[in-house]
Amino acid sequence: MTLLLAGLALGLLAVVLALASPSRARVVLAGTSGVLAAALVGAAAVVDLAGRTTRTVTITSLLPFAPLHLRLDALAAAVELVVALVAIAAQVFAVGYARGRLRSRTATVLQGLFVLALLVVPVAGDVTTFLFAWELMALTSLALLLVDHERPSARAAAVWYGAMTQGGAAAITLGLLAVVRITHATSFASMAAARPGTGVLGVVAFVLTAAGFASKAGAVPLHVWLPRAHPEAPTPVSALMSGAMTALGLYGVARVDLGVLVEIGRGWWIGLLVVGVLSALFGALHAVTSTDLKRLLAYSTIDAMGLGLAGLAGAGVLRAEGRPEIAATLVVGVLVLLLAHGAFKALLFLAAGVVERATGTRDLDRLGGLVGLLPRTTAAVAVAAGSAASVPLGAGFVGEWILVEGFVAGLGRTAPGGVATALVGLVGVALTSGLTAVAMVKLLGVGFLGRARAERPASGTGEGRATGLALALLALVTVGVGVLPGPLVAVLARAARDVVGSASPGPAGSITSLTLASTATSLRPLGLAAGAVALVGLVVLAARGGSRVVRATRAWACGRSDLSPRMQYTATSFAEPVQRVFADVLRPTVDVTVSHEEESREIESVLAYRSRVDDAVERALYDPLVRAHDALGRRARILANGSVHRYLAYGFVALLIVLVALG
Amino acid sequence: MSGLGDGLIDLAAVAVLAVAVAGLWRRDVRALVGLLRLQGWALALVAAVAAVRGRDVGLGVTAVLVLVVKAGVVPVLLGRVARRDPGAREGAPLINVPASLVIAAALVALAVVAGAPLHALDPTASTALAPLGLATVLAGYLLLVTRRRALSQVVGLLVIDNGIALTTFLLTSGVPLIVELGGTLDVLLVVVVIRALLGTMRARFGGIDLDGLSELRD
Repeated sequence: MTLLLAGLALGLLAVVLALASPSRARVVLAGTSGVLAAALVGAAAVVDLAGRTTRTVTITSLLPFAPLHLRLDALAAAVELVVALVAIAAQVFAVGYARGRLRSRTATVLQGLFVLALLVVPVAGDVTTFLFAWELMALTSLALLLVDHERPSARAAAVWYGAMTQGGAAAITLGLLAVVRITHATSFASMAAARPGTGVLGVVAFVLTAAGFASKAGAVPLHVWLPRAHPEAPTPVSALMSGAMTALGLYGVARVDLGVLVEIGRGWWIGLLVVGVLSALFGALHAVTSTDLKRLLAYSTIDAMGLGLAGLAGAGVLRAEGRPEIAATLVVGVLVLLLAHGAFKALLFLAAGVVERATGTRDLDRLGGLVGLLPRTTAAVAVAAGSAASVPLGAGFVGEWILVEGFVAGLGRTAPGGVATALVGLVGVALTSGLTAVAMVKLLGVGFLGRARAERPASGTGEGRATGLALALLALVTVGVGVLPGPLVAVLARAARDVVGSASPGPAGSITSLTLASTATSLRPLGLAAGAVALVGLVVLAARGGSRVVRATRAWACGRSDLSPRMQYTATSFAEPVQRVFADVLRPTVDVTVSHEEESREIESVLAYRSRVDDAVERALYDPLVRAHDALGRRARILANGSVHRYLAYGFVALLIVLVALG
Repeated sequence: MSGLGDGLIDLAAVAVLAVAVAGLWRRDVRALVGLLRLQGWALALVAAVAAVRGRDVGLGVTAVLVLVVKAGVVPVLLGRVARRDPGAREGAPLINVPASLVIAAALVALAVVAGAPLHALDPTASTALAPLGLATVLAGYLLLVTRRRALSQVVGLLVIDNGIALTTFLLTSGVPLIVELGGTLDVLLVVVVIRALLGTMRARFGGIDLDGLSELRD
């Protein structure tokens, strides 16, 4: 607990340093303090996970209206690990990356506050502290989105994000108030002890909190802000938003809906499972068809968080079916997935920032051949993309494997309802993984391998020392969790048992292996790694011993060296088959423009093909909503005709109505 | 003393309301400023009697403050603005004079009905008068809403403030001195700012008729 408090104090110090230090030292000082803060909080989480105690502390004098209650239990520590990892990497990166506006006092202070809020949310022990930190997180990230307020797209993203995040916060507030009303308690621990969830108020609380948290995690149809806000935010901030903030949305579901509203009916969880699976598929499909690098990453965040939501909802169903040990397995899977996603997605977003700075574009159709320009970044991206595509020995694989095993266990040993649930979950995970793999291969192959598609300035690669360190750290964690998941899973199992209230030991892990009690299957990643190394060695040896003719060509160029850049796959053409298969769902807009030579109609001068995939949910659901709102606003201007007397009369009439109502 | 005090307080409180209603009747802007001065005197009298009766030094200081600001400084400042365009009369108000007097009567009745619970809370002679303060507020608001000239509207605003002050004197023997001080300074500030604003308006548009300003909205 001392570690945690010291970490949070350093986080505050980072904000003060950002405020007070001169502009030259500002980013370095605030960044260092922020990194140390996240490291200390992360260390506190590790100590807590290794030990077996839950610690609480109350700080009375910091805020004027209510005391701060902090509580570090196993679940909080598990999520705090994710947040701390992403915060360390993003802040180290920011020290080397920040230029221009991002170095300003306002931006540095806001970034410090954002990190601090992210660190406080998981350890908030009661409703007031939680809502305070949550709102601080929402507001600071909104303001950070506006650092580049001169770009119209950033402003539009901020409007969407502001509306959605405040709507979500309002839903969460109302939902938590409903829980408080049922349980007559404000701390999460005593709320859970009251076992709420029955009755109309319980359902209201579940629906409101689940909707609010799911919108933070980008669940369909509340996701529309995410593909706008994450790409438009400054690079370190988009890494924080995507790697850590969305994870806190799932943390909210785990803490409040799974952890507190214990008695809620199974049907509501099934509904949430369907939402999660649909989000995962929707996000994966759009990730496949996106050509903007950061937009692709944002959609892939929706897909990963959708899987996480499906896992948590599956845990809810299976617990209601009386299988808490399987539920615990699923929760462990989600927690591993959150850590894996935090690492690889933060890495990919940071790398996207490096790419954007080095080439001046995020359009995959104009990139390519970055391996020559940014070799270290490409290596890190390869690791992260592998993890995202659930390639074994990546962290993402471990998380999805546990999820799949959890659903398989649910398939075998429960009532028909549970079987259907598990089936939906399984199909969702499988299809999503496949689509994500396509998206990640596209990202790596089209963006980084092959030949460059556009001329670019050769000067300044943008691979600095600090940025490289951040990417290396994240890549190391990705591989580390993938090769040695045992110890991590062993400690996360305790968090999962706390959440679902299971008594059986659940998943267990050692250095070499990972065993799931629910299915009696196990994973030996260390052996797999040894095998992979041996296999690679064999191939290299065989190559040396065999043919003496060595031919060096570029990767992703069909083994030929005479391909011109225009003969390669573009991001659009690579995704074309998937786009055709899912055309009924995606409804792409395709433009073919043909223009002719002036002399002859027979000769075509330019043939332009453009295909665009718009967000179908946004078109069907939000466009009418926005239009109706607009019309209402225009209608309401009749009220304000510019006459001072009329405005005064409104006040007078209101006063009279109040008096009449009172009298 | 008590009988005399009660009589004085009754008289002064009724005078505050009567002046407010008279403001609805008069259309000459300078006459309105004169009425405002009269109201300031009456309000100060209420405060002074309440101070003597309660042996309350703070309230006594408040009475002096009210006298200086509301019967002295503010009317003098407004009088200077009014003298800039002599003979300035309110054109046709948005609601004509007889109609606004009838409405004022209805407002007083509403105030009496709505103020009854206040008296029930603490049934003393002075709380029985609290509806007068409420009625003054409503009459001032009516003045504010129906008049076209900016200066008349300022008078309406100040009448509202006087009504609020009267209510506090009658209900709780005045709010703490520091609050009263703050409120009074606020009023003074409003008058100074509006005076500057009116000067600018006259220089730019040649008049202070607010109906001409409806083009300024977004």
